[in-house]
Amino acid sequence: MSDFNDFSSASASEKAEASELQRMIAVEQQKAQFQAQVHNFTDVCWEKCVDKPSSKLDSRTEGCLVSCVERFIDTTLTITNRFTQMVQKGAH
Amino acid sequence: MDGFGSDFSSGAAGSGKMDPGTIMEQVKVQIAVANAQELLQRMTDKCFKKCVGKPGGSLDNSEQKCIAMCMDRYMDAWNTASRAYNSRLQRRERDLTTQLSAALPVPPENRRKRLWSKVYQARATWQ
Repeated sequence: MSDFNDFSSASASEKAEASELQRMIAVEQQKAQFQAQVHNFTDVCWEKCVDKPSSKLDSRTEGCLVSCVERFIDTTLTITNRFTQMVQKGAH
Repeated sequence: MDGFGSDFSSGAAGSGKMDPGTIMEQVKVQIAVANAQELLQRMTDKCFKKCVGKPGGSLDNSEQKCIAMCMDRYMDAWNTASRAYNSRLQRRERDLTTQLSAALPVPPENRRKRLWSKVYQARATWQ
């Protein structure tokens, strides 16, 4: 039986199992990253779009939230791109 | 129930090795708990700001009702943001796929068939 602390002697199936596990964990990490972003968007866009909490989210507020997420992403991209250009030009 | 994810020996059965199913279960639970904590923390912050004026001796009825409504609206907002972000990611994936397939040359029909038969042969050996 292979020694569990010595991975060089692990069988092919054990190695395959370990890499499959790594893959599955990476999938869960990606999902967690997505959710962390949604928390951020909700936080920022709540401030911009929700005035008084009501009994239902009306269509105007819904539209505002959707636009807010899109524009926030656009803003992030704009800043990243422009900042990259600035750094490349040697700005401080 | 043990603290979430704090007891890693529960699936070991003495061999020092856990089965992938148990590991994945614990990973998912830990992530779900962290997600719920984040949601509650931000929700509490927002709803306190919106619903509680000058803090009194206790939360009155209107404040309680406001907090309940605020919780529901915050979760609605979270779901809306989640859908919007998902759509945006899918659109980006579609655009990238379109760009990529436009940039790649399409092999002629007979070469395509040979490539696909190689894929099927390889797949058969994986069983």
